[in-house]
Amino acid sequence: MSEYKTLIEQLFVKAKAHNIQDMEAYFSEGENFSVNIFKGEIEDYKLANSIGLGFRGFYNGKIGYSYTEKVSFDSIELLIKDVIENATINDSEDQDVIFKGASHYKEVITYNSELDLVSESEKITFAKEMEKYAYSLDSRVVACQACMFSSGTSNTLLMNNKGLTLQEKSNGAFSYIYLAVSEGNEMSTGFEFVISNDFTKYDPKKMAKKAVDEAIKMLNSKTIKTGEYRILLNNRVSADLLGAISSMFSARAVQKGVSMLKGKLGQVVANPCVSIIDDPFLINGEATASFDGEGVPTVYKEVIKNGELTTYLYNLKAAKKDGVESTGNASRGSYKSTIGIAPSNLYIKEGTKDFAQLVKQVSDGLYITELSGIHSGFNAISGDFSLGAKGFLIEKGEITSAVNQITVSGNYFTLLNKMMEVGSDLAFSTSGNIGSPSIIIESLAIAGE
Amino acid sequence: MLDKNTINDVLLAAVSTGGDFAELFIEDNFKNSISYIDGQLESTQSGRDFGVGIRIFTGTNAIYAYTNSFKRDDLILTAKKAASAVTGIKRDITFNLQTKEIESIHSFKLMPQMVDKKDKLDIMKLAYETAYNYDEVISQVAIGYADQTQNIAIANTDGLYVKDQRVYCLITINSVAEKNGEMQTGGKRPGNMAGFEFIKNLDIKDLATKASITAKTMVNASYIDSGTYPVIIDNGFGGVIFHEACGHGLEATSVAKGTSVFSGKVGQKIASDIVTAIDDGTMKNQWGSTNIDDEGSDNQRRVLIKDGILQGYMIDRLNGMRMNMPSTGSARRQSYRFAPTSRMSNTFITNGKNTLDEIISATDHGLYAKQMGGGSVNPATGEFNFAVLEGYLINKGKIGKPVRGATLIGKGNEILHDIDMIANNLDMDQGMCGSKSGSIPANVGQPALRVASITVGGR
Repeated sequence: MSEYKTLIEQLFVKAKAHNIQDMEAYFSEGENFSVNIFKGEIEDYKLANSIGLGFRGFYNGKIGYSYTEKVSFDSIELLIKDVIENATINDSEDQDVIFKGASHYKEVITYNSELDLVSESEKITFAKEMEKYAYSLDSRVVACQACMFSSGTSNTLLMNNKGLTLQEKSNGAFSYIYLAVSEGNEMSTGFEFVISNDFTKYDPKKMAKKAVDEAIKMLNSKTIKTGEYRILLNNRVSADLLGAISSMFSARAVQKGVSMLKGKLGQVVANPCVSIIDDPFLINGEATASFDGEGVPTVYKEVIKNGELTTYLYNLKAAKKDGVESTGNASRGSYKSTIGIAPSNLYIKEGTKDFAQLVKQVSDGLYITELSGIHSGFNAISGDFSLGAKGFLIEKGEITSAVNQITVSGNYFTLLNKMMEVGSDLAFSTSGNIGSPSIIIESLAIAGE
Repeated sequence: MLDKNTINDVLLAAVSTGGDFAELFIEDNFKNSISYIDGQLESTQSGRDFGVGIRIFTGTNAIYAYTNSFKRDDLILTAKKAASAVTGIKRDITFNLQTKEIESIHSFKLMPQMVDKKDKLDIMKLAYETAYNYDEVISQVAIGYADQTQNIAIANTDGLYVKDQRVYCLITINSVAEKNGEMQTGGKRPGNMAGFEFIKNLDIKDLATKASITAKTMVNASYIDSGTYPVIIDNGFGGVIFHEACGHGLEATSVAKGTSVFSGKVGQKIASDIVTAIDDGTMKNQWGSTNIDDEGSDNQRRVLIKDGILQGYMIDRLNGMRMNMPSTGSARRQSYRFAPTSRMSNTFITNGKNTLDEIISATDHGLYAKQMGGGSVNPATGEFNFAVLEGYLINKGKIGKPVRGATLIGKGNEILHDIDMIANNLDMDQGMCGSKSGSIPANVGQPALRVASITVGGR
């Protein structure tokens, strides 16, 4: 890391000579490994080591950005040139701020040294076992399209010329299995994943069984009659929906008039049983961090408390415009990204009833286990959605036959008010940082036959 | 980039443990992006992606490694590390890197790296002003611009050494209309594998107006009733359904595994007689074109379906070995970070005999999907769903009131048989296609066509 610090210091000196004032560098380096198994063989095997340097600075009072993956002294000139050119066309009244740093940053754990001790062959064995077990469970399993394990470690360094230097080391891993089962002309698919930097959380048999069970249950599924149904929304599916609309909480989206939460601060926007939490300190959370993309300390907050919208999410630029403090939600996907706003670990707070109690409470309705087309059939601005869905009928308080080839439609903002009961089974979606328990929805429009 | 000696030695290190074949993909890519919202610059970014991908084959399995380092020692170390995953006996592989000269079929006039950023912004401002001032119902407009200059070199242990350059420019226009607390959107995103001259020559006012017309139309539209309809899908982006629901199933990635519904069906009837579909990577300056694919093979024009009969697949080298079929020049990847695999380029259904008016007149009651949004497909079952961005009801052979919230669902292999009329207005639109080897530029296209019956989700 020290050779790169030297490079950054040189960059700052040269940039200063080109009249760049406040400036900041964001450096990261990482190593990754992933493996995918197909029919007992290693189909894909991938190793990566990567580095990159992002740079931003003020020139004539306006900010400009640049980055490079060729991290060497001969890249300094282009980094400076791009920042100057980008700042020169920047006509915005709202400008980013280079943060001078805070006196206190809460300590969080983002690195698990145990994971780095797991060998590649152990990871490969895990994936092979998972696939083998999936095939052994049921003769109707025809193909595991994906059976993969991936892990990585990264180091990031945030450094500016106002005295701030922050470093973070983190590691993580994820695994998923995606398979198809077939019976006669019927075919269905099952999926299961785990995201964690604790290797003991990866149970090949449990994962394989969950994916196989999910696929088998969905065989011989049928469409249902068009109409309004009471809905039990699966925890991960609800988390996917929340993730797709999470930009509504961004103060920048509100300022630009592209959030339906504009002007709703302090108002009731959801059923009182709904609270939504943004928790950057969540233990084992995917987005757990002590500082955000601008180096601002992160904070815990209830964005929606008992149905009432209490705050938007801020970075420094948006906070300056509204005359408030940053909530530590500046996002910076990588050294290539400009600063945006994003939640940390965002989830709907658990209720008290377990899943079985929720099913009983629904009595007659539809349990939705999968929504497809969230990236296209869901308008993140208006909240309107019309999505392909799968699930099971709930009849007399029991889960019964499988349902497929239906669409479910509605509006997320209406949905927030129609949430009647929130379960206790909080789970996080494939994004890793967005979570929800299973939730009962008063009713939604289903199109079938 | 890298000198030939270094490349040679890295390749040798890659096959030092028993690999049958090794390949290097070297990328040096200059990118610029600008975002303009609310009459102000929102963000700009400029940068350089640089990296080297090393791929080793052992039988029909592959190992991939990449690094951002350009240093000889690091590259050899990376190759050796990747090679250590191969457990075989070192083979006697000799090669002599021969430079393959390619004659570009594309022309780039104004290189985006040389164009003043202010010129880029000026066009964005014009798009913004036009879209925003179209109607008072337009509450927000966001304009995006992106270009990239991708320089690549590919070398492998067959002795191939080839270089190419791809230049891309894209502008996106998104209008938001707001009425009674509801918001609806409309958009356009023209792009080409071309220099900045492509952006300069666009009729930007017309595009911006069209984006706002869609937003305004949809904010005034009512929800469509759920049900089963004959659906007329208009030209251009309407081709996204063929792309998602059929195209992906014709990529060797899924065919080789036997997980595609189209596996083993060459020569069989998979679509109605009037359907002919092409994947053509050789179209001049088109968004999905390249001179060579990302393994260095010459790009081709591939006939996928002719008169309803399946003719062939899109195949890369590795899957070709698995299928015992030659590559069709279809290997693509987002960047050095991805191993290449078979992907689409410019994929479209060819012109039919009717006109759009004739098709509308011949439809008693149905849905006219003038503009499609995105969608997704379950590759194993072929089940798809697509959003209709701009739709209208058809009543007694005439276009009626606009409808919103329509989603089309069905199965890819079934919908192909249900196409009963095709118009003669083939057009293409630009998309970013995401799959195993990353997100790549791909054209989708078709003339207007009618599907006899599709389940439509609404309210």
